[in-house]
Amino acid sequence: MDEQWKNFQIGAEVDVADIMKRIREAIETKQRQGIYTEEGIAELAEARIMEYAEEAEIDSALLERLRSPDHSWNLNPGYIISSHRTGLKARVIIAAKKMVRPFVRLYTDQIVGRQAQINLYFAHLIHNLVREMTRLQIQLTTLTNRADRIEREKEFLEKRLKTLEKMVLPGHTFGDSDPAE
Amino acid sequence: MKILFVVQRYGDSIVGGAEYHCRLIAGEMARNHTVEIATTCADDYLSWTNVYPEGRDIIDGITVHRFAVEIERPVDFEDLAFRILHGYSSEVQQERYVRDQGPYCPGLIRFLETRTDCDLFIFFSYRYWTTFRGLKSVGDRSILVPTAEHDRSMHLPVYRNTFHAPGSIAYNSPEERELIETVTGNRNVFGLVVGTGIHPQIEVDTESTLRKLDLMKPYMLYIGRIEQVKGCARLVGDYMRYFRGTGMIPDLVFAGNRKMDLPEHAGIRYLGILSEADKQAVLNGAVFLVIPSRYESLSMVVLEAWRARKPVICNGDCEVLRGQCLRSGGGLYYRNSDEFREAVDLMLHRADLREKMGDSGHRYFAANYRWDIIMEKYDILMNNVLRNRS
Repeated sequence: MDEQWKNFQIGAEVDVADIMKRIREAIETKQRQGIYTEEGIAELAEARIMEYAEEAEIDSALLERLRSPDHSWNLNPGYIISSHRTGLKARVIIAAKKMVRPFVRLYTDQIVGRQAQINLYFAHLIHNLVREMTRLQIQLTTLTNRADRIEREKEFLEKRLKTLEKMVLPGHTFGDSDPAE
Repeated sequence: MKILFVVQRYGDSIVGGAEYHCRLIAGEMARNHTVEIATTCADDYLSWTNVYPEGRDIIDGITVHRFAVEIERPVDFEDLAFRILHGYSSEVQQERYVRDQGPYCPGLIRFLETRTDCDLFIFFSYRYWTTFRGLKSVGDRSILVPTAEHDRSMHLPVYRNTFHAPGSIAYNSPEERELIETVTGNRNVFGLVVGTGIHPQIEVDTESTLRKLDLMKPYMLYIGRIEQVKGCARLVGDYMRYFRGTGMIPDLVFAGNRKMDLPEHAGIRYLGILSEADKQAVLNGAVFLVIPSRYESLSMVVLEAWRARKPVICNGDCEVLRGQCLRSGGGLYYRNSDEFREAVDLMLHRADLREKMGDSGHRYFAANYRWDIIMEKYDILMNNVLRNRS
């Protein structure tokens, strides 16, 4: 359990909004340090996909279906035959459509089937690419932070070394010629 | 006053949801009014297969009129629903969507039209055909309990009349009211946020029940229909990830009607459908209750948890549950795995917080969901209907 929760003081009334704010801050702090769980990465990738979809103004419910594992979003030659009319008219139209369908499908099934496979392949590819890109971005941020920290530590150590050298060898600075000369 | 409740299903086997909500309200109203129920012969809300015999029945001393469903839900309904909800559709197509969603039960509507002796009709769940069609016949003499969730069907123009026809509306939460009023523009229809009361807590021997059910380790509890749409699959995923991460967390215990498989996992338990007494004991013994559902208009099991002074952790994407937690101080919420992990962690390790949240939830429950408060609100709604008619 995090230190902040051990020391967390609860007021006379429970303030859920405040606790939730602290929870989110705790998560953000961990993430800033590059501590991401596998599911954290997956969620971030999902959020990114959602953002892209929003930019493209895709209906969020449709997007949910696109992301569902059952592939029900994909092209399917077995569409439902229906009519917006009612009564006898509707029955006649539906019967006519049903009669025509086998002939239409003779020409369209192969194309639709192939397109469905291509769609599936690209969807799979794009989802995995976004996930990998997210993972790499996180790794990059973590490594950049680490490099910055190491750079700061190096600067500090250099300063310290210079100070120590001044104390041991007055009038000589670090980086000059070998003090033994 | 003679009151007829109209609900899509009604019976002993139907626990939870709008149907149970209806049963609770009808039972309480029967103390002061003549109450009858009009419902279908179905007990499954997906197929609407007729199970109960047609005709009159008595349940808990209340007369129940059952009518056969004439058309079961078509197997391709999901496809139709997707097309209607996510694309352009004509009014005729939308009406077909409502009819196919069911339960298509014209006998029930004919019965309503003959019941001129009834002072008032109370309809439950706006989405079902019985409510949709029934309100067209007796709307001015009715109260609607919409039990609406944040889904797309409410946006269909075909439902507009459903929210404008009733004399009054009994909402389950301020969030539900806001949602309906915004989407349907029915602010001119009189309404109150009511919800429901629940049965008083029963005295149970918690320890012996926990022993009997072999619940000797600490556990977090889920009660309700165990299915994907209720967020159970996501809960299992969140739990398993958390388990992998820490290895030292309480069991996740499920109780209720199981409609999906649960994985074989050291920490996951399924208890089946429990009696009221066992349910109470299991709730008493839980560390906290967890509600992963995104679609709730009022979670009665959350009220039961607060009645038992138990805190809850719920899905923050559900506006109603989030609102209830914020108002009551009785629980935390989460929107992703990380928040789930932090919320569970906090709840587990801070007994003082659990206790405070349980108490806050209990106070909120007592202040808003006592039967006298609920019935008082229904009286106001009923009087409004009668006044407008006269």
